[in-house]
Amino acid sequence: MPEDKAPGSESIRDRWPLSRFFDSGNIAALIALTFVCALCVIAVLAPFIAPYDPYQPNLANVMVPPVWFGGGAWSHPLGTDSLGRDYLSRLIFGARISLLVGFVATFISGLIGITLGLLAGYFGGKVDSIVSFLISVRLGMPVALAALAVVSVAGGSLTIIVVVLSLLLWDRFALVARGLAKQIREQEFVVSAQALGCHPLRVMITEILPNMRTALVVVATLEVANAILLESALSFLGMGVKPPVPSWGLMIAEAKQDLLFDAWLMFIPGTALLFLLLAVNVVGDSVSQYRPQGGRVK
Amino acid sequence: MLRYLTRKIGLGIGVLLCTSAIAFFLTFLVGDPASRMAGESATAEEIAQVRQQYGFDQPLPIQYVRWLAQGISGNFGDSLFLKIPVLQVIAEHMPVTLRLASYSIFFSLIVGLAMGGIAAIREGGLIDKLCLFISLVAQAMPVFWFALVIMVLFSFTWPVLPASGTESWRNFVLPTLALGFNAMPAIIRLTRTSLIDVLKTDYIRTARAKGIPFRRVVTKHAFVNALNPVVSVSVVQFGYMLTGSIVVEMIFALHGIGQLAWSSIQRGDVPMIQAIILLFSVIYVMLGILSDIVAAWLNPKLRTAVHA
Repeated sequence: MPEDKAPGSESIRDRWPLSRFFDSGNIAALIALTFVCALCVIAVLAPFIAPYDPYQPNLANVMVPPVWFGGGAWSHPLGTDSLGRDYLSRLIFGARISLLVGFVATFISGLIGITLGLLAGYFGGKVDSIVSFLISVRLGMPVALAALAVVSVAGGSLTIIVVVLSLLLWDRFALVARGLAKQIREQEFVVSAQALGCHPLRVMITEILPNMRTALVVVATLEVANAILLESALSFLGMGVKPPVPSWGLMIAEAKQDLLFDAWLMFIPGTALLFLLLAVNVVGDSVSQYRPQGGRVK
Repeated sequence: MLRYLTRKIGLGIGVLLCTSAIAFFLTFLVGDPASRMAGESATAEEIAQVRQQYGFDQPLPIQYVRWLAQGISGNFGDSLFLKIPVLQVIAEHMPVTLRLASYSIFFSLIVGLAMGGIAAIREGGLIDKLCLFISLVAQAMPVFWFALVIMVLFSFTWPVLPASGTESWRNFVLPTLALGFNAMPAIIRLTRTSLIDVLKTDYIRTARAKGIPFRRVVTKHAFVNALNPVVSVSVVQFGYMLTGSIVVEMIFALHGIGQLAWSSIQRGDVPMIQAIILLFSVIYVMLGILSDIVAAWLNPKLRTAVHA
């Protein structure tokens, strides 16, 4: 595979972002990536790491403040909530919900969006018109409102939320894939593959798709952050996962009633959410700097 | 330009037909509206009577066409919960949301343009890095959490601003901050990249070579041209603010469209939800067209590019 050249040069072959990631020496991005990976490990191993059962109420031990406040103790490093449940354990289990929704919803919406975008960009003409129309319809729908309405109907289970977000977040994948497929279709290696008699499907999957992966990884990071944010907002509004499941958004909603005297209950899950989203955005930002084309992802 | 416009508007109408159909069928999943209207203690016959009276017994496509036809003439039916026309309720709640969204876009434009502009002038410097960092944090900040944080800080810990209500402009400061902060990163980044691009052009070099001071070149020549993409993006951002205001309105107890949407969804108020989703779709599509027009007006190259 030839090396990447300057924008506008003929070869726009693309490498996996991860390999360049380590060459770049971008420390902030490395820390962010490590943070996300560490959180994934914590989420997977939650039952072994969490010091307590996140569902087990203990009414004799409610509202213990975190250790750095007076009255806190190391037995509950982040304190306990209004039902006496260990806050650290709930935070650890909450990471599962956020990461699961973020990654699964992005994966499915990516499948939908990339397929539509590839078809539109490769075939052009009528296919392109139809896909562009679908994208316009999707962009004309108020996402938060539509998600709220559907979840209120179907009930707030994790599966429903993942499905709803998958069906709502594919537009950016489609837009980017369509734009890039249009450019790459004109490249020499694609034309030669066609001249050799390759099936369109093969050209799309083995020639075009690998050459847009950096841009797609950038979109994926944006959508992971987006999905995590929407899940927490839905749970916060009481239309997401149902109590007593520990979702960070739900924990913030539950902490709202104690806002006046125990604001730390709200600060802790919010900070966790902020750091996760920040890390995902930093990773996406640093990947976006290695794009071979000049195209901007928005 | 006229052909470009008619094409855009035609497409917009097509999109609206689809979104209205989705809004209509979506909310019919909410549950049987007839049994809700008849009340909890209603008998089966009473429910059947309501169903027939309001036409809920007819096939959904027919109901959709009738709903749309009535909707175009301004009649979206009565709210199941409030028993008054849906449009009247929406009209009562609209001013608060529009006010909040206008303040917020104004706030984020002023701060975003200033920060993006300074960052571009000092590209690579400390201020640039600081501005990028702030935009990164703002982008990652969950709106509802940020709203709660500033509420705790400025209403409880250091009580200078009210936490709820709509009596005076002071009630709008915190909601504006929460909603505006969310739209800021897009404006900062776009202003920055756009201004950096413009500052590298030949006509800026010419202006500098003529001896015009740098400050004047930036304000008089570069900034105006860098503004184009920012304007069209902020039009779209304004639309997102209208839906983004759901959580903000809920937290600060502002009785706007966002709160109305949320409570209607909780009550299963079908006609209300349908009308609000359609209303937002209309606003989105119109703002999308407006943003295209503004972009085409500011940059004549786009007008021909669309035909190709």
